[in-house]
Amino acid sequence: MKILELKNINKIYPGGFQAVYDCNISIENGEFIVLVGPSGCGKSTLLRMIAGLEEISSGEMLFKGKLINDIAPSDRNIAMVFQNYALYGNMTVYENIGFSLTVRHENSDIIHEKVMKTADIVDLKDYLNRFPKNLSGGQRQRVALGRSIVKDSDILLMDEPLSNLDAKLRTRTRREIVQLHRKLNKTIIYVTHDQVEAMTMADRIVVLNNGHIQQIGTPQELYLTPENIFVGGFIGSPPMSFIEGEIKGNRFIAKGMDLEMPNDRMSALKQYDNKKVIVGIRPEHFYIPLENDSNSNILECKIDVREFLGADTLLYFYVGDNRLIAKIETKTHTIDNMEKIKLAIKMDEIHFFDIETEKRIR
Amino acid sequence: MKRLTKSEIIFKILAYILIGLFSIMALYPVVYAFSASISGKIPYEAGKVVLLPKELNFQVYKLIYEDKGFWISYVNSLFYTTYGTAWSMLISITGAYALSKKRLLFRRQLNFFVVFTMWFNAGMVPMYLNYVNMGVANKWGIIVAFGVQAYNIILLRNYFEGVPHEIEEAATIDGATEFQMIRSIYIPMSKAAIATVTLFYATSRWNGYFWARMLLTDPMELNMQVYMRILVENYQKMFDDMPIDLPYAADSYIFAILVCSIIPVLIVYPYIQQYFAKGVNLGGVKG
Repeated sequence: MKILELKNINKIYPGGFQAVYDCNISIENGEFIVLVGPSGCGKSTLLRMIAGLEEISSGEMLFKGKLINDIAPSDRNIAMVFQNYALYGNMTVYENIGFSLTVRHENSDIIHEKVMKTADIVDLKDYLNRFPKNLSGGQRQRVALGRSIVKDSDILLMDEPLSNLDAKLRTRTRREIVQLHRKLNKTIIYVTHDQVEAMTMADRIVVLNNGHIQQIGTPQELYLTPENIFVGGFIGSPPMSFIEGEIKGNRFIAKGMDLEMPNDRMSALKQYDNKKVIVGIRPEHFYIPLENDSNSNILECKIDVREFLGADTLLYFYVGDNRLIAKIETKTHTIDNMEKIKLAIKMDEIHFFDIETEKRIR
Repeated sequence: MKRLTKSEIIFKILAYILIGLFSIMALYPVVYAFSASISGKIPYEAGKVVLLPKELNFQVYKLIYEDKGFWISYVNSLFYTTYGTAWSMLISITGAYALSKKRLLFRRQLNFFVVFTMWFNAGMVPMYLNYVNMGVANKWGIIVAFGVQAYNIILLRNYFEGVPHEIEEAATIDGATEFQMIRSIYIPMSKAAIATVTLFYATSRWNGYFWARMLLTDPMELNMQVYMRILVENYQKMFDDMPIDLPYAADSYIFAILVCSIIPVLIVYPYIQQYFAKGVNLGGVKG
């Protein structure tokens, strides 16, 4: 069942700046949707429009089929977790969690029951009498989570809730939010600029750039079949490397690179013969070839920078003017800075993009 | 420990000297008034009371205790201060809250009108005539007509503007109405500013003299400052007319009333002072 539909949503601020362009998203009940994109891409604006904190300039927003464009935030049956917690500093954890119930004049026994149940879920039972200033960052964020859960609303909105936490705590809280989603089975719309968060948490990801939706899909779809250069470059860490070159028959020729293309790609690339295209290669699609490797697409390169990550090693090198990144297994190869090595490319895995539209050539 | 440079030492010494001087300047009149109120007539009139009391005499306080006019004016002052401050705070808080919101229609213009009253007013005579014509030239005029001071509204408005807007948004999503937001979030989070403004209003109302003198004509409605002034004007004459030679000076009586008038402020101040501490909203948002 569709819980939320966004149809041709636009946001134009007074002064003419357009933050969101013609946005269409359909969200199923219980889905974990992540809006991801760089700073200023319009993801938070979109979330705030869903919350009712920003007016919709044009378009329709439907909640369970009902138009909610002009419905007040408090009547939208949503809860929200803010980036900077937005806790009421003058209230205890108990009062913070129970605030939404108190302002609705709920019976105090019911408030107590719900607050205790929520505190149990977010593991804050021992901190109910504390004030936010006496809590750690992670605990504060859990209070914010508790405050959103206690309302028992249909949709939970989260605006970069982990960005203020340190790396270790972020990973733990990320896991806790995913577990919470599984436990509560609520629809979550989550905003982040961190593609790792998006990839690890989402059922589906909406990638935004400059107010435009670039692609909507599962993490696998976005990673394996990016719609365009932006998605290819944004999703995946380290990012995809791009090389501009020309198609000549069954070869892709760029400065310092001459690759033989696989036959199954030729039908799609036929119309680009003698034309420029962009090739995208993910770091893991490079490998160090064996002596008798049958792959003819081998680059000879000099390693510029080597980064040891533990299990893997990242190799930064230049081909022509293009800086590329390769990821190889540490245990099989030890490579030094400035070392000259051979790197083979898994041609079945690389992507071709139209140079003008920047869309992936299928 | 950090060693201080020569200029830092000089700065510190100067700062302490200045603070010391100002403290003495502020404290001396209070100490002198108290000493004068309990000193005997002869040393006081001979100018021997400089700091400490001479020939202790507490008779003036007994006299004040028996002075019906003093108690009426004292209770009146408490009445004007309590209700006046409550009324002023009600208007100031709601007004400052509205002016702090960007969504307020004509916000800039309204803010300008408020600030304008800090620079210009109609003048004393038109104001007096206005109060008389509005029928508030009485005790209610003192409470209601002197509702707010623009400076205090601006002070509260600026403090309210400092409350992170995410907190307001969170409360909006939680379903809080504007009044619930003021009561449960803005007032508790702005305790320091509210305590300051309350103190400003309370002291200005407690010490209010001019308009009380102008508007209050019924002797039963006089506040203490006006009563004190009337005493100053008349007491020396009354004192001189008295047949017996009293053991205290006429001024001692005035000083004793003055001392009594500071007592409520001295009692209330420590209670309000605790809210001056900053950091009420610590930890609410990540800075």
